[in-house]
Amino acid sequence: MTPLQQAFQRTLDTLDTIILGKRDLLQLAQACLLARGHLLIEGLPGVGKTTLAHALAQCCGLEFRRVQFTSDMLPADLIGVTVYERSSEHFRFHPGPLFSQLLLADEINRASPKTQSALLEAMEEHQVSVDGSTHELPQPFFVIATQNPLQQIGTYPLPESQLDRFLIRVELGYPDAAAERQLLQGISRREALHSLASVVSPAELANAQQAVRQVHASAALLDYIQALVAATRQLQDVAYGLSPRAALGLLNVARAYAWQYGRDLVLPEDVQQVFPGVANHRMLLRTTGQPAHGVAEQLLQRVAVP
Amino acid sequence: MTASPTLTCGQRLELDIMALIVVTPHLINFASWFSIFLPVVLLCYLWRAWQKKPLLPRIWIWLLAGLSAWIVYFEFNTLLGRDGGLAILISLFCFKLFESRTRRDGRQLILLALFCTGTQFLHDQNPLMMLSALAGIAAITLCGMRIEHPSGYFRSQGKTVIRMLLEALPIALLLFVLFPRLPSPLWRVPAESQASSGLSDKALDPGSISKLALDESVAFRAEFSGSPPDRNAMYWRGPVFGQFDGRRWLGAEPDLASANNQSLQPLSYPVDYTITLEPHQQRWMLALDLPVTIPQGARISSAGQILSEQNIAVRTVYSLRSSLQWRTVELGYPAEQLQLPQAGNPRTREYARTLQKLPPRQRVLAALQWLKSGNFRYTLSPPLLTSQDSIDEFLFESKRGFCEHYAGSFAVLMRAAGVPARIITGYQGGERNETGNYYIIRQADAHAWVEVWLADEGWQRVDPTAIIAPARIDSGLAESLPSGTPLPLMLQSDSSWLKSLRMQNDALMYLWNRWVVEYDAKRQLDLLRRMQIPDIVSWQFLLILVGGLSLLLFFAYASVVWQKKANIKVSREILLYVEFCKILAKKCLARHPNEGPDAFAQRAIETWPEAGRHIRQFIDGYIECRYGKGADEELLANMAEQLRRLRRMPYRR
Repeated sequence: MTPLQQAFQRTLDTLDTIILGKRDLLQLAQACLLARGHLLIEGLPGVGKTTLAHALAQCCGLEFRRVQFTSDMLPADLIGVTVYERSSEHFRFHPGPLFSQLLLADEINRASPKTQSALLEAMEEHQVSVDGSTHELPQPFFVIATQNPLQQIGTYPLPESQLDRFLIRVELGYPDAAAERQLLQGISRREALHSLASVVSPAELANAQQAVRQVHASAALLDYIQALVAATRQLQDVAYGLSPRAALGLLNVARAYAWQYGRDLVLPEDVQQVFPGVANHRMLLRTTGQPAHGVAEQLLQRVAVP
Repeated sequence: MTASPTLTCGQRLELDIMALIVVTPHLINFASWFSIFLPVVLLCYLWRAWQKKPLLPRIWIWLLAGLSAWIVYFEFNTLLGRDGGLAILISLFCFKLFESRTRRDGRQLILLALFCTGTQFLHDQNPLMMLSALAGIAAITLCGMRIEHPSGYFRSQGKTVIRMLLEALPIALLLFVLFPRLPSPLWRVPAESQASSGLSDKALDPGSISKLALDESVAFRAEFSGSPPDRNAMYWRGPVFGQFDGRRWLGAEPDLASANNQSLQPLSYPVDYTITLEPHQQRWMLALDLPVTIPQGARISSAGQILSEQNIAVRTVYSLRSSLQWRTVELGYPAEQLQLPQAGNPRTREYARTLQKLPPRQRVLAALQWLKSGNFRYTLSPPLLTSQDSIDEFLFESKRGFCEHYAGSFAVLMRAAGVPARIITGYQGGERNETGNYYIIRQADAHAWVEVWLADEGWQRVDPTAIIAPARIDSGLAESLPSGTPLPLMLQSDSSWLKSLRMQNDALMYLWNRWVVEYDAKRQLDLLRRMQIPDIVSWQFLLILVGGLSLLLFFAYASVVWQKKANIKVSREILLYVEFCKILAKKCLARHPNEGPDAFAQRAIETWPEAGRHIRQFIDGYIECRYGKGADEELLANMAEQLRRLRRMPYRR
């Protein structure tokens, strides 16, 4: 294991002290960051979605902003506005909260589709265009969006094209009994967050992202990924299978996962670990039009490892 | 012992659909209230499984089973026998489904379903039944596969089932043709006794044949091996009547003992043919007038009637040779064939007295001539003969009748005139099936004619009907009746498309019956002889049976191996890995198909820690070869070495 990998392992350990009993999930979130993807967290209010995002930003020393999405929010509230400045007699662009290294888009499905798409466009292009001038977003640029369960009142569900922009969706459920007891006994999470020192620097993160790309994926592994993706396209209950972008994403996250374990090659097991996170929210059920739950896990049971 | 996994709602749904497919042929054959009750119950179950509702409580199942048994008893008046027993069997099968909870129950149900499918041949053995049984077997196999592998793809499992059935087909055919058959079945299907219409050998009343005249059901089918004789020579001989009681002709108990007293001298080339006789629950068999040889298991009476040793309860196939013209030489004068009641029919006797002046041969011709000029008419609906002297009433008053009237009164007339005479019943003519090149003889072709005994010729056929209505003999019943008589479709002489379609269907059924259903020990032996195999019990036969089976198995095995070879471009590390999985599967645990190498290795190390080092090394090597930069000789050699050690290590637990 290289020092860089060890540093990220320590990051994970630190995060584990904040979000208790969810190490798999944390590792997945970190893999998403390493694979330069965006993360969608789904869960009930109060299970620690915001804390997770905040802690991740702190550990990696990223500049962190949080935007609470509401139904009357406009794209300008996110991107920023151009204001006339009397002193310099010029229009000046005041960047909005989007211009940060780690953006927490809280309750993204409460905003109107217009605002949602402004954010999602920025996520894909890594730049925004306002009044004819293009503004580059900072590097790295990482969005963590949280979303309430779709059945709740006053939500605008994300269309499938926008769900596809999120590399990984994780579901943050209730903690188990032991973790919850520890939570009740321990100090306030907010205080702990503040006292959290950064473990890796943004520069190290960029290096790590570079290293992840070098992880070797053999022909046999690509066969397996293709078999999985092909299987999603044959499902009867699912409207559309995974896109090629999703397949590429799956490979990248699997690489990040392997890298986290200090390996320089991807194993089918890595793919299996990340597949539900990558695939489930992209497969909309034919019956309800809602993202599937558990379909990816069933697929893993069926598709043989070559 | 672990509990068997519970059946999911989807599997229950599939089992229910399978049950529906399996019981449908039975229900169609029952065609009763039971055929409505059972599908309704099954559909209710289907709906409940669809709604993901739990199984019915046991008390409900008992109630339903009781209701079902009551319906069966109500419909069939019994819970046993062929129909009652089958109905009970399939209803029990369905209620077994209702209480199936676990996979183990599901497996039992699959076996029961196979049995139920087999029993459907007790109803009928036609090609449709064969097709429905094949569909049933496919559904059962698919369902069995779905029970064992619930998460598999439906489509690929369907393909597998079809492939399996296709592979089984040659083996089934080979066994069908070659598997030794018993000369007589060990047990018989209890045939549901139905009142079968047809000729009777007990008594011949006026009207007993004319009531068959509109019956289009098939009596038998005949296939000639050479060119068939003319239609007007096709007299199919059945029961013989020799006693007249004043009103009816009675059949005597056939005299088998004195059958050798007469000898037959054929006067024409013999005709060879095969008859497929429909069951009629009596002993007599039909032959073209007059048989020269008799089939196996049958005897011939002194009256030239062929009798089977048992009642004909199933469709029977036999081959015969007949001569259409003959002379019989008998040892004695058949005086008993002159029997008449003491009194009665005075006018007939009076006319017969006038004939007695002539020599016997002339008496017959004169009587025929008298009939021809007597303004007699051939009709299906003759007036009822009410008087005591019915022969007088017919011959001198009503003068309208069907063949049994003519035959009956002509024989009485002959006896009164001193010529020995008897009545032969049977069938006359037949309809040619162009598709199958055989003749269909229907009940409507039933006929009665007379035989008279002449001193130098023996018994000779005289058909008075041929004098009255020549068209009946030359072209059949439809032509001989006045136009406008309503006839069933198959008896009408003009050919509609529907009729020709039914003829083609008949040809198909005929071939099926001859080559599939009636394929018995004798035919098997014939076939073997043609293949130069002397007997079932011979080394040649064993050679061909065992050789054929092993050849088929070899092809199946070779195709599997070849397919595997073709599918994977086998590299060495994969071969080693397959070997590794085999060794571990034999010793402690099997790899799941969806398990990656690292996860499998960890599981293996947990169950077999002593071998942990070797397993780890092997898997590391494999991962490096397969998922890393590629194979190199050193790694592969090390892997092979670890494999050897693993194979030698004993596994103790």
